[in-house]
Amino acid sequence: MIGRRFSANNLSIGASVTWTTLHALDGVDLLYEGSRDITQTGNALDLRVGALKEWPGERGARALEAIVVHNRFSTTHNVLFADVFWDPNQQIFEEQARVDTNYDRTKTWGAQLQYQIPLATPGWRIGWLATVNRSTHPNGPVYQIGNVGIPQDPGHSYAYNLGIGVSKVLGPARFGADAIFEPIRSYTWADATAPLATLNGDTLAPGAKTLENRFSFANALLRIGVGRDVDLQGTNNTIGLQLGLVLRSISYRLEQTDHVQLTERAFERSWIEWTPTWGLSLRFPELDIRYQGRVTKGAGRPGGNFFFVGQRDIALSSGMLVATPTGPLSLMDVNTTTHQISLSLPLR
Amino acid sequence: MTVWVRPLCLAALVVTAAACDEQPPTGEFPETLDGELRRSIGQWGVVPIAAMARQDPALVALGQALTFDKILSGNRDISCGTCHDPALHTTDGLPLPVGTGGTGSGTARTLGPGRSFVPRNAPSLVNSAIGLSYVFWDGRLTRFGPQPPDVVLPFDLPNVLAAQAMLPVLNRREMRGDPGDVDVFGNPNELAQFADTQTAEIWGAVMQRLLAIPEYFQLFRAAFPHLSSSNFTFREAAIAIAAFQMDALMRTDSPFDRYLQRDDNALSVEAKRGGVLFFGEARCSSCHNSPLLGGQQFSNTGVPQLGPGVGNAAPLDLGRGGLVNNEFYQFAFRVPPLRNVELTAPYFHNGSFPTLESVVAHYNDVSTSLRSFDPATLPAAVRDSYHGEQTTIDSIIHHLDFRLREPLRLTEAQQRDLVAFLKSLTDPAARDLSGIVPVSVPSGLSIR
Repeated sequence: MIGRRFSANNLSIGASVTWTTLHALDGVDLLYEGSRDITQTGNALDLRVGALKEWPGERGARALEAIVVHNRFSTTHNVLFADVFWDPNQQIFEEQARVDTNYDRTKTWGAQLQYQIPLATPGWRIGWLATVNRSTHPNGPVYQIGNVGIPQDPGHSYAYNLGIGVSKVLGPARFGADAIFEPIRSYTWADATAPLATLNGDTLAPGAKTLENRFSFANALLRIGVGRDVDLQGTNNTIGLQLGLVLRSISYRLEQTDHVQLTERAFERSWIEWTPTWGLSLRFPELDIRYQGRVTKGAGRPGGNFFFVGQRDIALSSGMLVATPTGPLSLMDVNTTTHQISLSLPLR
Repeated sequence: MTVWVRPLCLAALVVTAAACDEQPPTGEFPETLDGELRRSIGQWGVVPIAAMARQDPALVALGQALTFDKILSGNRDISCGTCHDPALHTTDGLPLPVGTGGTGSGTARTLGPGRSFVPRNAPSLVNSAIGLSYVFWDGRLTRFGPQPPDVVLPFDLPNVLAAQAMLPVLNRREMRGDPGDVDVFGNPNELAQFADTQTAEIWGAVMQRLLAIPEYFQLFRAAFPHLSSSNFTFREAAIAIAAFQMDALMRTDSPFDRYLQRDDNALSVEAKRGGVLFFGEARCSSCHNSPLLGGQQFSNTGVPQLGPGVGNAAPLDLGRGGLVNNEFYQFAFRVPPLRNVELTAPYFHNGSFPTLESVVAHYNDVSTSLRSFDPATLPAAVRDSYHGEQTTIDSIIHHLDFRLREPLRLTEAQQRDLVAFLKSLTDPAARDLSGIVPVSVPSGLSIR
């Protein structure tokens, strides 16, 4: 990482390169149900260039921040399966080892602009955020979960972020709120590897699209929080109180066109996850004690008869791409409660 | 400040309201056809089948000759290959086989004077070596159970196929003939003179015929070099016939088999839809399951009674229910394995349904199909042996397999899809079996 500040212009620029070798990504084993062993090899490359320009003013600085990101994700999964077959010679079931080699490749280009400006009323600031990401990927691994395949067909995805937020600092009190809209468009397809007959008797040539998936996400995020510090009179100790609420709205529509079965189908789902948060901090000269709690309600988790890897799990292993499962999913409502207690001891 | 906060709050309200109008994600994702089919298949233990190892060529050569040589029959007029005709995919194409004394071949074969039909349909020998638990329509021969009650088989037969090959030469209708018969040369049929209980003597007499022919003697010596010629018995002949079946008659590379090996493009869309029905709504897989798609159990599928009958129940055929200690299985017959079923018409234990379409229509409403069965659909030769008495029909329905008591109510389109799936079980290499027929046999008798 390198950076430089041009004080005369109130301009800062920076760049970073991160290269990571990957050998064991969390969650990948869940994508290959029934596998005996998975060997993962790969790497991730992250390139960033950013600039921050500030315009000092009486009520505080205006600031514009711009970042361009390029990310390459590449892993190879060598997955060992034991296929069961019937051996007519011995007339028993036998197992045969099979190693599937799956390549998970993703390239992402992204850019983000952030702008914040103090308002006329003292203590208030407002900011905007805009992000665009484009991911492309060749044919990825077909995750097999039970008898439900989750193919990662070749395709590309666009993801956007449009947000606005305000904050106010008034003495020991703080207030902040923002709203972010996250539209995502994903287009994937499957190619015919051999001449393929369609339902009406036509033949799809090798390379022709057999299946097209169009995902449209319209996610939204709203966050509100307040905090207040209270000095305990006569001491150097401070108590801090925080309350917050996060509302995440997830809404997507899948349109799928099957050029073999000559069918079209559309599927829509939306739901809300809402997360109240609360916190308490005790700051003493010698140490800080903090407690944070949160409950997330409305989030789905895999359940039922057929295991489905949720979008976030997919994202873990495949660079934020959206995959289309071929089978039924069953997500069950769960409430996730988190309590976090931390103790900070200053080193002097 | 007010200028900014109001739009922000309004936006927050819109976001919240928009998100609240749908239910949480507990529904089902629409399933693709392949996903649904693979999930359905996975519930029934249907897995790919490995290739059969090549058998000893000398053993196969002997078995091939024996399979197509009419010298094994008392009257020297019928071989295994007569009723298991490669030209008809190792069936005879008839509802009920015509045994010794008959003339002609294939579907043109007719009964000889005073003869009656063999009471049950000749099953295909293709994939007979696949590992069936039961042999014969009533399953009286099994690879892990007691021996048939009326025959003492050699104790050291290597497999159930060899055990099966010991039996047709004993059967008067099929191969042995009746007392007083003369063979095609006008000579007395010495095999027919033995009592039915003299199985060892019958097998011995067949071996006398075979070993009297030098070419057979050489074939036996080549196939069993570790045995002295004085120890050749019909056991060795049966082992050779079984080896021939294992070597030459395995056909398990159907589109469905390729689909099992993860080739999604191996099946047509119709076949996939039919497969989903087969392993689901149509309930076929409740019997036709496991790698063999059948062959493991018995079922009374409401098939009309036809033919001369079997045992004490004749002219009816109680199937497995006619065996001692199996009375529960009234009118129940072995569920056949289904690979290459397209090629083995007519269907069921007595060939009473001529096409796959008619079979599927029968299963769609078994009781109605049985009650309304039209014997005019049968070939004229067996039409008169249809037993459509009300009491017989009522008895069959009374003992009907519980899975078939309610109509399936499949549409005609669904029935067509099911047939498409059944046809996807055909290995293309099973369509032409002419390559397994020898040019000639050591006895010099005609093959056809």
